Amino acid sequence: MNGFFERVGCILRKEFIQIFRDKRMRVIIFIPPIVQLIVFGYAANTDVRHVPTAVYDGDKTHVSREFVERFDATEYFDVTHSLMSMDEADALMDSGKVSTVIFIERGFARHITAGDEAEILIVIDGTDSSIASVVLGYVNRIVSDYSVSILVTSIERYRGVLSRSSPPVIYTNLEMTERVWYNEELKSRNFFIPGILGLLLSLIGVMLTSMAIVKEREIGTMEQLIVTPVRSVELIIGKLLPFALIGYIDVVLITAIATLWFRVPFDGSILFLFLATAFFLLPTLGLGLFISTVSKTQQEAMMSTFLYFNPAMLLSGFVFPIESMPAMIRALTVINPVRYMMSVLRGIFLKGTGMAELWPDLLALFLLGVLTVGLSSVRFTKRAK
Amino acid sequence: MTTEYAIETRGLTRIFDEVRAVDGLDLTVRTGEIFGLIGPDGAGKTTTMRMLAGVMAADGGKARVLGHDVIGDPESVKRDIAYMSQRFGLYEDLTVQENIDFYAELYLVDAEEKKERFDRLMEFSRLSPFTGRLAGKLSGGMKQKLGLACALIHTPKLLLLDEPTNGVDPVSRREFWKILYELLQEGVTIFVSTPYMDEADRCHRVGIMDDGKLLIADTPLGIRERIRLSVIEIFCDDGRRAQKALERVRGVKDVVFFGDKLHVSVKEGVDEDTIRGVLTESNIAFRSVRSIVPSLEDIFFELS
Amino acid sequence: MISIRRIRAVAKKERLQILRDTRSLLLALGIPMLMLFLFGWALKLDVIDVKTVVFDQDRSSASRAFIERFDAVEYFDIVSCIDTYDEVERSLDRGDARAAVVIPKGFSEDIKAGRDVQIQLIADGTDALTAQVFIGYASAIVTDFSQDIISESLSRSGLAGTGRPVNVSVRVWYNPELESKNFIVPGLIAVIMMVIAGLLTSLTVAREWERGTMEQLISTPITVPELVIGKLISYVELGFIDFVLSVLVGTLIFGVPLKGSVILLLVLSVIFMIGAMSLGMFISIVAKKQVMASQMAILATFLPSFLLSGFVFPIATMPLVLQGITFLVSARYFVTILKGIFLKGVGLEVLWIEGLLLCAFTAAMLALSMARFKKELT
Repeated sequence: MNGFFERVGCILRKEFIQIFRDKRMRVIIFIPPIVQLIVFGYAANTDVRHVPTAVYDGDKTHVSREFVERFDATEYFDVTHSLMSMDEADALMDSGKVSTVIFIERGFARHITAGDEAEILIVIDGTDSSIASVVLGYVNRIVSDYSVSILVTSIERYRGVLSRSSPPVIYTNLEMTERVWYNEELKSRNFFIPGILGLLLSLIGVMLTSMAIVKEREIGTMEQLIVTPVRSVELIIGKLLPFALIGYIDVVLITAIATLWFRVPFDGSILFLFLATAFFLLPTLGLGLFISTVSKTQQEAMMSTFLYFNPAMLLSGFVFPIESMPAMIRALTVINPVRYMMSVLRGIFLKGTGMAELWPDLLALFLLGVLTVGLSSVRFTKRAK
Repeated sequence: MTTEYAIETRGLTRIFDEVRAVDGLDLTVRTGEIFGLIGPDGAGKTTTMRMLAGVMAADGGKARVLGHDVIGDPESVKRDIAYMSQRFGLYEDLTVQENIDFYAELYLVDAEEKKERFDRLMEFSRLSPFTGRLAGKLSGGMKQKLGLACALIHTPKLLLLDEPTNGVDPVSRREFWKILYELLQEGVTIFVSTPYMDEADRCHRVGIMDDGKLLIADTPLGIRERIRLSVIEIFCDDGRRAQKALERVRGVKDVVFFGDKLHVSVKEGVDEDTIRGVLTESNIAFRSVRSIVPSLEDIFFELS
Repeated sequence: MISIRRIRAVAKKERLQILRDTRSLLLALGIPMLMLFLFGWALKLDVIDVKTVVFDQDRSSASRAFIERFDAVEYFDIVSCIDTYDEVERSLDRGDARAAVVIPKGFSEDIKAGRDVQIQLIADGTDALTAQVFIGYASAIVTDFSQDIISESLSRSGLAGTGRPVNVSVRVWYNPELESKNFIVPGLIAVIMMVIAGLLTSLTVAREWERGTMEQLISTPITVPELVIGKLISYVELGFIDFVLSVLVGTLIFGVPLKGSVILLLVLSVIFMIGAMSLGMFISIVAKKQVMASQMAILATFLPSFLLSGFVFPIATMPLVLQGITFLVSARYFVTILKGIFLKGVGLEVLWIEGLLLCAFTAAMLALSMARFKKELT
């Protein structure tokens, strides 16, 4: 153990100087994450609002107009076009100018007042099926509410007509109150931004680490180091620590921007966030290290990073829920460190949870970290020999 | 274009971050000769060569290569020259054949001529059995020969070679120079830079560079005549003590180690006997003390 | 002054290098296939089987009938019935459930007596999109139940009248089964192409500078256009193969409909690819170092194509500044084109604007690359 810290410190100093002296490197470390966060933060928005809608009102009565008003009054729909004929709908939908069309037949008001069934046709653009599902939900809701109100009015009317001897008309109105926890305003941004932190950490961590280590091998300075009395372990630690530090800096930066600028809620503990970051960095840097042991050039390192990152991102629960995946794929996500990072980050930011609830994820990260670092050192020492 | 000079520079300058890598260089290379540019690392040899090859811009001065203004219009020279960079500049993931084919196409060499030259080049570079091998898998010497072959596939009039034998084994080095001499027969002008002073002696004319400046340019003999330098070579037992003893002697300009020998540069007045005397006085046993022809390296140390 | 011979020579060299670089090939062919399979099969945005807990404080037959309606539907998966509010909190905190239905005591009584009843739905809003969807489903279930109660009591009172005054038929155009894969796959192809194009070409020039082969190359008579075009050709070849493969997989294996003109699709895809690759090349020219180039490539290709192309996140809801920026993202036009040709079956008469903008982008990128590239060492 003698000289261990001195030697590691030596390598650390060299690494830091190399990394931070290069102006370009400084730029790469800070600018891309910030830019990506900002763009993502603003663009990642699946809230469905102001859906452009066209209306063909064949009835043109007070009743039909009131019906349309129910759609327009909400923030979900924006009636932008009034159609003269049904054919105009085709062109507007095809060109994407509207995503919803409401067709009201002639005689709508008549049917309503007579107590008959009135027919409405609504056309939705299904190209974007998740949005279409939400739109469908809104449509159904608005129509249902309207139906109920019609029923209530007719009951009131009948009530007034009834004599005392008739049995009382009893009806109840079943209402649902919804309470949303953790992300009360249901802003998709709050869902995505903590996720972005996880993605950025893993992408940058793996890519920078692997490329930086490989660069030395490409240039040839790696061999020189191996010859000196530095042991492999010390070499590895010395090389990885700067990137761990960069990871922490990024975490602080992104969390600050997320909470202060985007007002993403932060209900958990900052200390726990820092602790969790250490757990993230373990498998991330370990993976970067591993990739560097199987790549000869920087290009190979970058390609390998992407080969890993692409599926890792998609199967992390970032956009696509893991519960909706087929069983086989779900099993695969068990070894995906990004998956655990996602749930931990969302837990800390939105749910305010901590060690008590999240320890299984942290454990998984730890195990994966040990696995990757272990694999890497096996390969590393083999190489040196 | 038959002019007397293949290369002419006047006041050629290049500055990097306030360092004058090449500082007011006035150089001429005659058509049909082989000119060697020598100097230590950082002297500005590579930068000079890059400017002459048209791959780097100049910050001042003029240069004419084969009659073209290479500083004002770099592209004008490229058809007639061939440049071999210091670093191996060919594709390691392409085979010998593929690399040469590529360069032949770049210079628009017509098929018949290419076949002929290819066979000749393979023959005298002895790369024929390796045409299908990836360039990355060649030895240092073979790589350089490949580089030369690619440079020659298109019959250039001028060769610019930047330290072409760096890190090459002695046998390959010798073969390389044999090829260069054969090219001279064909009328090719060769401008080569080298850190090896002994190679410089093989050139028609030599230029010594240091700190971006040209210290002297002449034939190897001419240089020795102009720089009157006497050098005495000593073969003795305790080199360190001998060095200390000799340095104190008046008239001794410099004492340098040369492998297991000492080279003592002396002024008029100091000769072999004087040296022998000093050594005996200091009780240093010696095997030989004799005057030698100063090497270009000795001259370099004298000049810088 | 442009020599076709030299262009072909550069193209041939690049092709050989690409073929010999197994890892890049793996990436170029493997990633698209992987993504297609994942998106087509594993990644669904459809909301089903949302884990739900029920806190039934009434425990009457009425409340059970109500709960039954949730269970009967594929959207909800009732995992347990619990007894305390604490358990509700714990389930949601731990992520065991994402929704909780709370039925108040006196549910059955209140309904019979004609008093208003409030059902509480507690939703985990972390995943806002799916939360919105299942809240909508829950709301529909509740309203349905409500309507049924009302019409039942109406008919009991002998009142005429239908149960549902308004009958809405909903028709979904272009993607009738609302299969997420139908909307994802076309957009996905655009993203894949953009990313591959960017990644592959972003290193090509920087690599030559770093390795020293560029220095040698610029000492030859080769001109900048010849170099750029020559390099592009082989990458476009590879990209085109990728594209055709993706389209085949998408249509034959995943059954995504291809209603429009195949020829138009191929032509526009080539134009798109040249543009995307020129962008990659531009990055390579500007960055000169591979580490830098790779980071820039992610910023300039991966990020915009995923976020700002309209592939997953609708452009209309973005702040205006970003919307403006999306005009510079060629993937945006390509996504519209792909969705149009695949799902809507439209052609140039609708897509001519996108087609034109795509051409403009490609031309601009090509010109930029050639202008920026200098045959000079610094």
